[in-house]
Amino acid sequence: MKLVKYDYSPYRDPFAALDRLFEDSFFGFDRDLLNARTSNPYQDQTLRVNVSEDENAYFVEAQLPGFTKKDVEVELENAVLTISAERKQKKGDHESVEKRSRSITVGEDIDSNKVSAKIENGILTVTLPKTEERKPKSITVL
Amino acid sequence: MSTTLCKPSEEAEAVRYRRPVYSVEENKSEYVVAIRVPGCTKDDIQIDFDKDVLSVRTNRSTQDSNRKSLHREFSESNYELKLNLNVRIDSDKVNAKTEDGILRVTLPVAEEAKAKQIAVN
Repeated sequence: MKLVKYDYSPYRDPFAALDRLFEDSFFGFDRDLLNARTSNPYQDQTLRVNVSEDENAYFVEAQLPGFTKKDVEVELENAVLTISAERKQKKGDHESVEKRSRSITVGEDIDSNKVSAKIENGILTVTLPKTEERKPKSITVL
Repeated sequence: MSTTLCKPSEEAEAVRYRRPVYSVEENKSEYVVAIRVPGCTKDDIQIDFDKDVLSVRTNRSTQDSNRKSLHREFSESNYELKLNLNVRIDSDKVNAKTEDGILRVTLPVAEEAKAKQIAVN
């Protein structure tokens, strides 16, 4: 399974990758200087994903706190999996929109008709079953 | 958003805890702290309110899985947030709920700390 780089748009924070690197190296570290950033949840627009596999399927997990089923769209086209999420929030009389999306390239060895997705406690899990021929088989010796 | 209400606590945090992303909303009678704890259920979350410090910690049991990780951008570590509150809070009325991976803690301002209008005689 191959993965493409983060898809950045000019509207996104160009330092997000650097911040993430920093955060990942020093997670748990109390960063007073960076609190202005961390205390604003709408700045971190990158949709982070974890990818794992077992014998039968690949699993793509994404962090989408606050999003519900109706806010999320998952699409698989030409071996590119795209997750798009959008939700509206009302704060008093003004409304804000939070948008996140991410595309990753997945292998050709996926049974695209059986792809499923669920969202639970702010974590989206997309299950991509492997095609039959890719699953490990035990061969009996005659 | 109040910048004076919440200052991060000076206490050192254990390395295995991650500081969650949070926001604070303020209105006349209460503060609402929205903390992003994706993947946590209400049973995983422990909230303590001690004097002026609100601490939120998650204790997620690590899932036993036979999945092999291929690519990781976020960790499933637990979250910890300590906020020093410089406004008196009515600690009996603090309440919290989780929804879709966001924990909302409502902190009602104590009666004696509320702004009062003083009539001019």
